[in-house]
Amino acid sequence: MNDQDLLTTVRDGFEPVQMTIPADDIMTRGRSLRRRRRRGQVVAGGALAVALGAGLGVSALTAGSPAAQQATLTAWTVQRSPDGAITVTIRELRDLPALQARLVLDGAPVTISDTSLTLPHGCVAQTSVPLMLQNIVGFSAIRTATGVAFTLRPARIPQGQQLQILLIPGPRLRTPPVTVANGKVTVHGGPVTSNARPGIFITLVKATPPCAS
Amino acid sequence: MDSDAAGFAEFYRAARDGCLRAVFATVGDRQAAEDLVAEAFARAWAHWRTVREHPAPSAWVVRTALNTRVSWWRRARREIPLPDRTADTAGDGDLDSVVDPELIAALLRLPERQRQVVALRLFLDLDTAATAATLGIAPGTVTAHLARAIATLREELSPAACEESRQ
Repeated sequence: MNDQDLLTTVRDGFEPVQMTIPADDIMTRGRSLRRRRRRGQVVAGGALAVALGAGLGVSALTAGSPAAQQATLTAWTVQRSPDGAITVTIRELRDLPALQARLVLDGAPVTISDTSLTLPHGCVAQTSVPLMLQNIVGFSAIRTATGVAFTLRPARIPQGQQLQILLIPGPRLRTPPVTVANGKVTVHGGPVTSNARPGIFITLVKATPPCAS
Repeated sequence: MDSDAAGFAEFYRAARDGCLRAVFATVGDRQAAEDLVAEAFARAWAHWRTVREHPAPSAWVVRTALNTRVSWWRRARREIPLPDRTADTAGDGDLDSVVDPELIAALLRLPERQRQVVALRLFLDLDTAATAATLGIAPGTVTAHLARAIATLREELSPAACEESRQ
């Protein structure tokens, strides 16, 4: 194999790798960065305390508004591969019902929650063995620089069952109502210890309506 | 859409995949690479009037993505690690499986600078001078890094080497 053949092999090997984030999301984020930079210049020019206070106030008020949502990259991304696998990247714990609806629409029976999920006795299926789950979910690349990511294979989910995905907030998975006081982190109104870490738990459960009641 | 936005959108469409492949080949984690490249393109749009005058805007994006990776890594060191996958090895897993794991592993075994040179030369089609300018090293160093990287990759990826490793 000569040098050119070798380099061609490497280049061709990466051919399937493609960006999935739309240009609009990139430009929205870019505009936000630009505004932040200009705001910083104004603050540096004078009125530091007033401008800073006003900026923080606006940020807090608009945290859940569409404008604030546009200020970041999308909270989550769903990418469907030609082989039917679905790659989910979650950067922020926002719009999870919409994410669940999107995955269901793509043929993946899932429930997604970011709070502790309690199911009635007998709801959790006994078939949720690790090997089967590993077959359905790509665990080995579950952590990214900014959140969590996993790949689902809906076709491998047994008939009559669904995946139950529980997301635990933490430093990488940002969620607005988090406060830290006296060594305790309070998330979603419930106190948890300071070593609470972001994470994801996936189990296989029966996809039966009685679980909801 | 004004001309600036149209110009940037066209640049993004043309350069995004090459930049992603270059960063992926360097960091070995596809999702992290996509996040880094997205952030770098966003910064490119925030500074578009400067970036569009750059001799190699896509190289600017890759350089920014790699610099961002360093700052994210520094910040991550101060954060609480995830309970699982904290030692997640780059390059493995289903998210990366669109690329032959052996190819990624071979690239990751290269020293980082050699990987960067390969990425810029291969995926952005930069010549030696542009690669040197992007990385802030001498053109001769680029040539040397590329030659060493090719020699190593040949050993790792040649069919004979594959056969030997299987035996």
